[in-house]
Amino acid sequence: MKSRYDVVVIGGGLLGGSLALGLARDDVDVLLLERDQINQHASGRNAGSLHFQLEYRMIERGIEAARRAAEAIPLHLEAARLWQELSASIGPSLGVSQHGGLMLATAVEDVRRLEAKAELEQSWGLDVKVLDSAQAHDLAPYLSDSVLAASFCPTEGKANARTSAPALCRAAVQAGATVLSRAGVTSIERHGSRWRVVAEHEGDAVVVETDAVVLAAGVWCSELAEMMGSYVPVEPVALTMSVTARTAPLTPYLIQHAGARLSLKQSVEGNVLIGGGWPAQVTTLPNGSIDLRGRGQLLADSVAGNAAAAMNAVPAVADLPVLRTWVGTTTLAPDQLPVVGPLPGAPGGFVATGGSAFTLGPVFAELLGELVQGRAPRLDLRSYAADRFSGTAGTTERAAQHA
Amino acid sequence: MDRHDISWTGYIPAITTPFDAAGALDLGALDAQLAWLVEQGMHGVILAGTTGEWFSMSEDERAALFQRGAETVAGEALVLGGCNAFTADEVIRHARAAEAAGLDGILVTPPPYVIPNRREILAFYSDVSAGTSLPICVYNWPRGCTVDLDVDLLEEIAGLDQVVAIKNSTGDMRSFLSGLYRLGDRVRYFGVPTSELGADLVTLGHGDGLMGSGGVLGADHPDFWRALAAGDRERALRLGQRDRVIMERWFNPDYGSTFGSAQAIMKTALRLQGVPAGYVRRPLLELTSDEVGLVESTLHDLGIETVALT
Repeated sequence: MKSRYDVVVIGGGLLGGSLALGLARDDVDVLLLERDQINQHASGRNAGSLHFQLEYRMIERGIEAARRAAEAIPLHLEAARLWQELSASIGPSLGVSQHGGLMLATAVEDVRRLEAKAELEQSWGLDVKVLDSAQAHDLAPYLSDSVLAASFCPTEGKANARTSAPALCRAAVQAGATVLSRAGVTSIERHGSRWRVVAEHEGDAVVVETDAVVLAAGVWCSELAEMMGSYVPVEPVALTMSVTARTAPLTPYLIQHAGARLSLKQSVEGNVLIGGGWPAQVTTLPNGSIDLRGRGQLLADSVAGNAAAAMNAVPAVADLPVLRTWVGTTTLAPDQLPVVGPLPGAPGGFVATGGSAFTLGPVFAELLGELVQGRAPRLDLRSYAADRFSGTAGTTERAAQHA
Repeated sequence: MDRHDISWTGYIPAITTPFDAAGALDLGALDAQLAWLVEQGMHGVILAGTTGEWFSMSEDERAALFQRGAETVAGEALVLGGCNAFTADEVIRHARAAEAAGLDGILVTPPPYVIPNRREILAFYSDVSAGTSLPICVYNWPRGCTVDLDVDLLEEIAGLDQVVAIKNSTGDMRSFLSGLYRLGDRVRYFGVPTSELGADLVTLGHGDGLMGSGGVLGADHPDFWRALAAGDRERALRLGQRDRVIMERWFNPDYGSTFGSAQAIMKTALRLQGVPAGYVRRPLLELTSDEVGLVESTLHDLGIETVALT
């Protein structure tokens, strides 16, 4: 184990793995530190949707909010390309299939919303077309008769959330990265023109110096940013998911709804995964703060609402026994947009988290890879800069302390 | 109670217990591991068995494992709790924790290390049976306990109130068959090999299932029983052969491991498939990189893509 690396990436999830891979392929000397097992947290606990159409949560509050959310479409276009490219270079262990995604409308106002959404998406260059009821049923005869229209995006699909991050970490190691799991970072301090990162690994302190530190640790980014004298206000959000028993092939598509919280897809093994953003309760510690390691509490209304949304879209789901319902946590910034870019007040520090982080993980990795190497990122990141929150008192205080 | 009071059948593996980087019980990883096992179609799981490293867990940890396991599996598969200990009193405390968690039954070996005599073994199981309301699976594991429960002794133990099943891990087919034929109509009998002989036995209505191999091959294992039930012997044997491959490469005929420790092998095999099975706790040690390579090459030979780190 060396004592100096060009870049230290903290977080062994999808983003950390793809970033370490990208950097190693660029001959950058990179160390990835993961406090736990690889893929133990958000990257491994979501439903693995690759969704490029605007989600329900982005279109439910009217066209203006949708317009703002649509500014992220360039990230999604890049993600569609990168998932394909990664799958070709790494192989089936990513579990990527991009057979397309349908977003359904079952009420007249949903149809209108779908049409406005598609127009907006097309204006940003996303391949989306609106199918009428007959066309939608031709494509997917198992859809409910109540489906009046559906938008179809051919690049949408799914990846295997269980295997993607480990596969990327392994590819990173093969490309020359050093990956150290069971290494919890205990301090990150400025040391001359570099950062000194200290981690605890099997009872020993691992101390490395590096030019750049990238935070890819989801909800722990706040805590780590604070060690670096910076500020990233992200919080865990708990969501509900369910999975049914294995069944015969039912649908190759990712299915969403324009008027309800729903995502539905079938795994390779045949289980149907149902999610779509129904809330769950985060767990709190006795002092009232959020337990970042907690698994959250299910809310009965969410479980029932999610199941109803699934059965309304694909009636055959009603016959499948639900094996399990669980809470997956994700990380969101206060404005729900991604946070990608340099860490304010911490030269050589970078961060990416929030937003549709599973879908966008490979894009975040690509953009951070460019930034870390001093190149201009290929997409405009101003809307996602971490310093957009720097007007808050917390930041000023922290910045002053570390000035 | 006897075999007719329970419905245990099929593949009910003793699974690994995830410990995190610092050696703490990792309930988050347990959730993910159980989720995978349930989705792969396991008929049940056994928590805190030998594969589950009960010997390095505190009593509170075992209770927490039972509680979380029952909550996560939530009735989608059987959950049995390994309650091994050196005294019947302690076994009964673990059994109470299993009852409180709502588990379906418990698995108990004779006290390990002690090398009790026949009278002591019978008294031990008799005390345990009197101290729990849960069905008991008696675990014959000579390698771990130094005593082998012969058929006469098993017959006496099978007569106890709560005893409903026997798990045979002797590696001795003659002992397995003699126990099965003598006691199979009274207790459920586990340890059926996934071979032609095993398939024949199950087809003829003898033997109830298997509790080994930690579930590491996913759906292959439970589907062996499903295929037999559906009359597809050919598919069952094809699936069963995959279990034979890991048994031959990773284990000796007495079920000791051929390298590393069984627990480390199982956890490595799961992590290599992206299942966060965690790390072994001392006194056990992680596999060396050469040993990881052996596990990985076996999985590759079985056509299983691997993802974890070397």
